Amino acid sequence: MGTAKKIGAIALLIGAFAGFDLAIYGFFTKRCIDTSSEEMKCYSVELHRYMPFEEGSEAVKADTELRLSGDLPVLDGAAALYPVFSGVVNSVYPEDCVHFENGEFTADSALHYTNTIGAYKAVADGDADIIFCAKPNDEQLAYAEEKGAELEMVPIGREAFVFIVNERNPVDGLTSEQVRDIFSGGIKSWSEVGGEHLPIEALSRNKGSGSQTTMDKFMAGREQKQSPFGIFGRSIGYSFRYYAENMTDGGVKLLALDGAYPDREHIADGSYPLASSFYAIYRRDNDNEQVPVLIDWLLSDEGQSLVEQAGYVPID
Amino acid sequence: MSDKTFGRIIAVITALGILVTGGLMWYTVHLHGVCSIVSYVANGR
Repeated sequence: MGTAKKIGAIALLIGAFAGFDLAIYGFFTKRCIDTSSEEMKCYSVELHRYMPFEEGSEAVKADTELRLSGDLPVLDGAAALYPVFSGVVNSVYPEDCVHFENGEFTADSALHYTNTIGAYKAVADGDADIIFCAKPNDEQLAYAEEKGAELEMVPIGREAFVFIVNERNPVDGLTSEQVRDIFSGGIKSWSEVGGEHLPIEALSRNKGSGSQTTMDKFMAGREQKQSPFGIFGRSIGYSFRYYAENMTDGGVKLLALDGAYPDREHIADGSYPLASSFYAIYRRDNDNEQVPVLIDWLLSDEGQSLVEQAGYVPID
Repeated sequence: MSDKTFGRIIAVITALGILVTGGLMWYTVHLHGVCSIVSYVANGR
């Protein structure tokens, strides 16, 4: 082989590796790069953004004269509902009750955040008095039963479970049956639902999370499947409305479901089919006298106005 | 360029290419496991 041909072969080899690596980066790596803050990556929510009593915080504050003192109920809950329960603390708890050190709430803080999986464990173990979550899955209920905890679930607001796509996806809505078919592998291409000829990448969340529990119920026994070719197409995921719209960096759009867009109007009037309640949950045998006081307040006009201020739909 | 030199260059480029590609794939799988569903959808197509 002449020298020119050898140099050509070397250049070809370098080009092949470079091209392949650029393709991997463009198709796969880039979309996994999460540019949100370290706190968001760690906790799925920016705790400081809604930290009670802090200047510049977005924590809501209800107009109320209720002020708790003494044995304060410890609050915990889901990422998507953190603005609600941090707002509760911000409204009716004393200012010195929240302790946050080295990136987490301390054991003696009245406000904790461990997300859905941690919160259900905490209320069953007695480490939290009231948690704010969607309904539990069977494993979470079984764990509570194992701990001798009968859970009281009080609906305090309504939220929509939403399906999200990239904002550049031309599909704006789906039917419930189409969504089930997509996530069970029955529909594999966006062209089957009015979109482009691209594979569908149906994403899923970790078991035990609020959104996965809700999705499992929606799928009604149908197994979620993912096509390996979906990664070359456009993805579809799911979350809760307020979280997807307001607690992330954007770039996604919510899909209408059965003709109804998941805005507050359609959640309140029931036309959006996946609007469901979220709950304040506590152990029935909890003897902290301030627990029923707080629950009653959450159901009052003042408490419901806090739910609305925090971006959710009141229970009525 | 002698055949020996050509062979060595090819071997070095191939080894480096496999290392870089392998590292990129490992990094991608790691990121895929930790990124949020909303970020993943937002950064995709």
